[in-house]
Parts: sequence; C-alpha cells; structure tokens
Amino acid sequence: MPALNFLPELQDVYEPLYPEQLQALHQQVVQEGGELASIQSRFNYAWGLIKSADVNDQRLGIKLLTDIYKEEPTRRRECLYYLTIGCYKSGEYSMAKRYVDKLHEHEPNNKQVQTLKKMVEDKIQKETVKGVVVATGVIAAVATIAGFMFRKKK
Amino acid sequence: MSSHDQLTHLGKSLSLTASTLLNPSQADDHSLTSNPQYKSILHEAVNKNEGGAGTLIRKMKDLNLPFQDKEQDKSGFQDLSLAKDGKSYFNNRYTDLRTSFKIMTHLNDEILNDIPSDVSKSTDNGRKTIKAAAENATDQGPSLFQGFEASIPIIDQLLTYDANDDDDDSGPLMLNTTEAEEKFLLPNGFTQELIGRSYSVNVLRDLSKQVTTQLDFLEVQKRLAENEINELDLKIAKLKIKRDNVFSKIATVEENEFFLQDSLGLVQDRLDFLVEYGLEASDDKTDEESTILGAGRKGAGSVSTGLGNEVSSTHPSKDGSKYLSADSNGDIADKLGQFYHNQNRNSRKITPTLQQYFEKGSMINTIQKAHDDNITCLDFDLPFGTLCTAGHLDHVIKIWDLSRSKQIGRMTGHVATVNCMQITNNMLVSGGKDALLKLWNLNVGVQSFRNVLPTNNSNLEPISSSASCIHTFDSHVDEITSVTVAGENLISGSQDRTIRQWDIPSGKCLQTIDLSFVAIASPPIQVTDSPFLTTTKATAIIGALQCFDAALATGTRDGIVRLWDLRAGKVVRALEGHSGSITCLKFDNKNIVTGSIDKTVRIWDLRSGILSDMLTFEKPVLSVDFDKNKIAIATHDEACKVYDRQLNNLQTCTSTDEASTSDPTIPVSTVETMSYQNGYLVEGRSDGTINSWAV
Repeated sequence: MPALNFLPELQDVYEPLYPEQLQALHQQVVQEGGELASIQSRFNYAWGLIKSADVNDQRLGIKLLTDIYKEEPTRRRECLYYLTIGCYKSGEYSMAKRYVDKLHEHEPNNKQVQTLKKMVEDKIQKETVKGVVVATGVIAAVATIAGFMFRKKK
Repeated sequence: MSSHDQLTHLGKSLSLTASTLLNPSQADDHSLTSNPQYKSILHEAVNKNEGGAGTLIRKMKDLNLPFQDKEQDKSGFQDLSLAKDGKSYFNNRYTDLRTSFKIMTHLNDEILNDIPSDVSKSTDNGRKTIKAAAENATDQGPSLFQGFEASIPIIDQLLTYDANDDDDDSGPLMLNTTEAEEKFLLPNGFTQELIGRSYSVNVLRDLSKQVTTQLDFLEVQKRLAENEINELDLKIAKLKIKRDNVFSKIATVEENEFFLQDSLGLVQDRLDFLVEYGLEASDDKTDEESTILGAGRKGAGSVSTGLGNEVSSTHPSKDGSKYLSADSNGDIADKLGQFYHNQNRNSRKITPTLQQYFEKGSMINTIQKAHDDNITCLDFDLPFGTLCTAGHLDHVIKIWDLSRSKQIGRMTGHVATVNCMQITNNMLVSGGKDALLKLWNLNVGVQSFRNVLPTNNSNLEPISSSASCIHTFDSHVDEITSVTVAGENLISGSQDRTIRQWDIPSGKCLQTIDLSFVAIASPPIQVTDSPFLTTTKATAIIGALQCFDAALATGTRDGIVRLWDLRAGKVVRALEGHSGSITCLKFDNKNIVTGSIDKTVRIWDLRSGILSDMLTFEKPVLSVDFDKNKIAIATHDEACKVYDRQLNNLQTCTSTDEASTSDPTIPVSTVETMSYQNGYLVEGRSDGTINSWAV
C-alpha cells in the first residue's frame, strides 16, 4: 500500500483533528457501546485524542490504547508503537522509553522503530540534562537554606 | 496544572535523572512504584492481566473515587462516554491527574513482554516484523493507523453532510439514499466521459494517481469492514456462550422452584394429616420448630414416611369399600370431597418458561421405551412438570418427571388398557377399556413409588401404588373413550353410547346423556374408517369431550361437533362439516378446534358456529391441542405438526439427525397421542417412546 504508511510518522501526531471530527469519533465509540465498541473505532478515538493538543486528552487516548493492548494480543506490536508516540507527545518520556525498548526488541530491523527509539532517547538525554540542572539548583538551594538555618540555630 | 502537579513533575524528573544515571533500564519501574500513595492499588489492580483497567476502575469506585457522576456508574467504560475530555476522566479527589493517569495506563512487565509472534509465518525465528506484516497485508490486514486514516475521510464526509443538512431537515441517511447513484465520484469532478475526451497527459497522470490513492483507501476500508465482521462473529460466539450460561441458570432456578413447590406440598399434606388426626404434639412449639430449623432434611424425611403411614392406614377401609357401591358410601364421599377441596386449595402455580428459550422445533427430552407397546394417552400439568402416560395392553399408569425424564411413580388399578386421561392440579382422571373411570392422587402415587423403590419389595408395590386411586366411578358398561374435568364436573364418554356427568366431591353421577342416535350415522363412515380399525380412537363413538362450566363440546363418530348445555342436557348447537369420526377437539373462549379421521383439522368460531379455518393433512388426525398462537396436531404420521396461526406456516417436530440414525435400523414409529401447552409439546409414539419438544 504505497499511499498509506503502515505506521504513522511522529510528526503526524502533531496535527490535531477538528473538534467535530473528534466528537464524531467519540460518538461512534459511544454508539457501539463503550467498552464493547470495535477495536478500530476505539483506536480511532484514541488516536484522535492523542493528536489533540490538550495533554489530558492525550492521556485518555493513551488509556484507551492500553486497553486495546491488553485486549488484543495480535495488535500489541502496533500498539506499542502508538503508545510510544502518545507517551512521547504527552511528555511521559520514561514510559515512552520503556515501550520503545520493548518494541525494538521485537522489531530490531524496522526503520520507523529505530528512528522513534532514537528520538525518544535524544529527548530523554535532553530532559536528563535539564533534570540535572534543576537538581543541582535544588540541592544548592536546600544546602543554602540548611546552612542558613544551622547557622541561625547556632 | 496545579502546583502539586508541578511538584510531582519535579520529583519525577529528579528520580528519573537519578535512575537513568544509575540504571537506565529500570527507570520506569522505579519511578512508578516509588510513590507509596498508590502502591497498593497499583499492585492489586495492575497485576491482574486481563481487564486490568476495569478492575482498577471498580477498585476506585469501591474507594469512593468515581469520575464525577456517581449516579450513572454502570460499567467502567461508561465513564468514557460521560467524560467529555481527558481532564474529567482522570480527575479524582485523591491523586492528581497525572498520577491517576499513570496508574490507569500502567502496563506491567508480564503483559508487556507477552507479545505474540506470528505463528502463521514463522520464517525468521518465528518473529515477524511489522514491515513483513505490511507486505503480507492479506494476512494481517491493515494496521489500526491505516484504519484510522481511512475512516477520517468518511467522518469528514458525514460532517459535511451534517453541515449541509442543517437547513433542510433531512438526515444524512436520507441524503445517502437519495444520492446513491451519484455517490461514486471521480476526483476533481471528472467523469468517465471526460476521460475519453481528455488529451492532457499530465492531467490524466494526476488523475490516475489520485484514483490509485482512492483505490488504496477503499481497499483499507474493505479490510476494515472484513475485520469488523470477524470481530462481530467472535462476539456472537461469545454471546452465544453467555446465552447458554443464562439458559442453564433459568433451568436451575426452575428446578429449584419445582423442588420448593414439592416441599411445600409435602408440608401442607403433613399439616393436614396432623390436624385431621389430632396428632399435634403438645411440646410442638419448642420441639417441632427446632427440628424444622435445625434439620430440614430430617423433617422432610419424616413427612414422607408419615404420608406413607397415612396411606397404609387409610388404605384398608378404602380397599374394602371399593367393592361396595361407591355412591352409597358416605365415608368415601367425604374423603373424596375433602381430597377435591385440598386439591383446589393449594393452587399456587409456577409457570415454567424455559421451553421458550429452546430453539423452536428442537427436541428437549426423550424417554425411550416408556411403555412396551404404543402410547395410548398422556397428559402433563406444566412444561417440565409431571407427565402421566399409559400404554396399549399396559394397565399401569406411569408418572414421569419431565425435567429429569425419569419415572417417579406408577399407579395400578385399571384392569385393561387405559384410553384417556387428564391431569388437573395433582389429580388425574383416567378412563379405560375396563369401563372404569378412576380418580388418582398423583402425590400418593409418587410417594409410594419413592418408598417402595429403594427396598425393591415387590409385595408392597401393587398395594401402595393402587392406594393412590382415590375413587372409582363405575357405571359405564363399555369402554371409556374420552374424559374431561372442569371444576367439580367430570364428564366421561363411553362406547355404551352415553355421556355421564359426575360430581367429583360427592362421587355421584349427576346426569347421563344418551347418544344412541349417533350410531345411525356411523355405517357409511365405517368404510373410511376401515384401514384404521386397529386404533381404538378410530372407532370411538365419542371421540372427544371438553367441558367448561356448564358448556360441553362433544365430537362423535358421525363427524358432528355438538355443543351442549349441561344444565338442560340439550344440544345447543351442532357444527357439521367433518366427513369422518372426530378424534379430538379443544376449545378456548374464541375457537373450537377439531380433528377428524377425514384428515382435516377444522377451526370453528365458537360464537357464530362458522368454520373459520381448515387444515388438511395426508393422514387421519389423531390429536389436536392449541393455544393462542399455535395449534399442535398429531396425525397418523412420524412427526407432530405445529401450525402457527399468526405466521400461517406449518412446522414439523423432527430432529434431522435423530431421524437419519433411527430410520434404517427400525421401522418408523408414528405419533399416537400428543399434548401441548405453552410452547411445550409432549408426544407419545407407537413404539412406546415419549418425546418432548419446544415449539
């Protein structure tokens, strides 16, 4: 199938749907009976949610994906991919890393998985640097306060 | 985001930092489980592989952590339809959004590691890459993402339809149907004619590209639909299993109902017995109550033995007086009246419904070799209730439990073949070739059988089983061919050309109606009867009777159905039409249905006396029974027929596999008699088999 990628690119997830579209997807899930809805319509809604800009919507989308993951063993590989993207987008880099690592184990030769893995790792590195900076700052602050208080006590 | 959230975020990134520095692979687990606040919930809920989310949500509900709407908490996912966005979904009072999100979306290692490799194509170490799957799309089908991409255009389409439709009030569905022919369009407003006229290579190339894309879309959509069908099939299978479970639940509940009703009957009988004979114990209150409460089973046992005692103690007097004139004996009349009133008193009835959930026209149960020869008559009280049968040349009436298809009683007393019987409550009336009409107590018949069977004492058996005969109405001088009970009235028709009306409470014959004029019409019909002289019903003068209050309907050998007023003892109306002797009839408040040797079933309007419908068959009709919807018909054939009055179609009660297996080995047995009630049909066959069907 040349016209349609088998899996989405990471950029794809940054193009939000119109609210009406999302509403329609939601409506379909509800109509089909919530939990009883077919995997596809639930995924559609979940993916629509992940595409949204609101972090809480993204989380709900991830939740739905997790449900699909649990329910449908044959879809697990795919789901890992979507989950990684979803977690990446919503800022849960550790979760994203966990998923993408697992996916990479099973799909070592997949280009898309490799790129995704790389992006997640890069991001984590950046975050780590950020984290270290924050951490040192905090430690410094704490140390200063502590020192200050100690001195005061004395 | 709240400040708390930010704090958690800070803590999170701290721990993340630390763990990635120290041990990158365990970053996640550590950070997740390091928060003791929800550790226990997490462990309990997430460790369950299947339905983890559901359990979790339930858990949260238990902990009083609902998602906004408490009143509408139906199932876990219903919350999703209520939650307009992710915020309200994850919102709860105990943890912040992010934490609850994390709990709910956590996948534990076990489930994460459990990724099935495609077994179908185990080429490279049983591992199949997504890409390989993509190439082999026929196996795998499109990915979920492709499905998503393919369904977005459809949704867009719908949305535009919706937008257009806002002005004129026709729904999108209407629009779809009206524009069905114009629905298939080429992109950019191209038509097939335009293609033929176009000379621009670029435009055509463009078009072909677009069409290919669209084709791909369609292909994906098709696959999606196929997948959906497969999913639905799976769901249907699952639902079927569910249905079976619920079905068996109904079955057990109904069995329990029967059991309790039985027990209630026993208690009632025991009570009556105690009161009647003044055997009430003085320390009743303390002793009796404690035994009942403490050992119900023991109590029940003593009840049954007590009844056995009653039976044997009352037996001699009854036995002795049986050979006296029954009418003159006041004691008997008392007993009879008492019995009759008892029967009418405990009339609390359960209505079994299980047969409705069987597949229509399927066999529910079968009793092989219920009698040695053909079944002459049978009747049952309720679906899955008690069945009484009698066989040709077999003088015993057997009692069966239809739900277990097991014999639970036998009653002896007749000295020839039993021709006809009817059950009301726990009372059975039977009439036989011995010109005797007997009234039986089924409870006693069952209990004595129960008592006798374990000891296997053949000496006791005939005595105790004949004790179940409450009364013998002995006035007819020839075999009894039909019998009916309605209230206190018992009507019997005999070959001696009389119909007698009996009063059950007193045991007296109230009226004798002479039907000698019927014989005059019989000779010409005898010719058509001749091939079926073997069956008793074919030559019966009074083929069928039914009584309601003072109204009596008779079907006789001359083919005329007569409606009588019992108070005057006169014919009110005669329905003429049948050309052969009538074998069976039944009426309700609207119709009277009659079956005859002339191979027809006629349905008459009771008020006007006009024939409203007629069914013709290939064989003489032997038995007919009906309710509002269906008429069950037994002809001299291998299967019962059920005529649906609403749908106007005829259904046959044959199970295909059964017929094919039994056909070659033994000659086909035919249905001799049949009884139908509330979608439950019992047939008695010429080889002594009894089958029950759901219709």
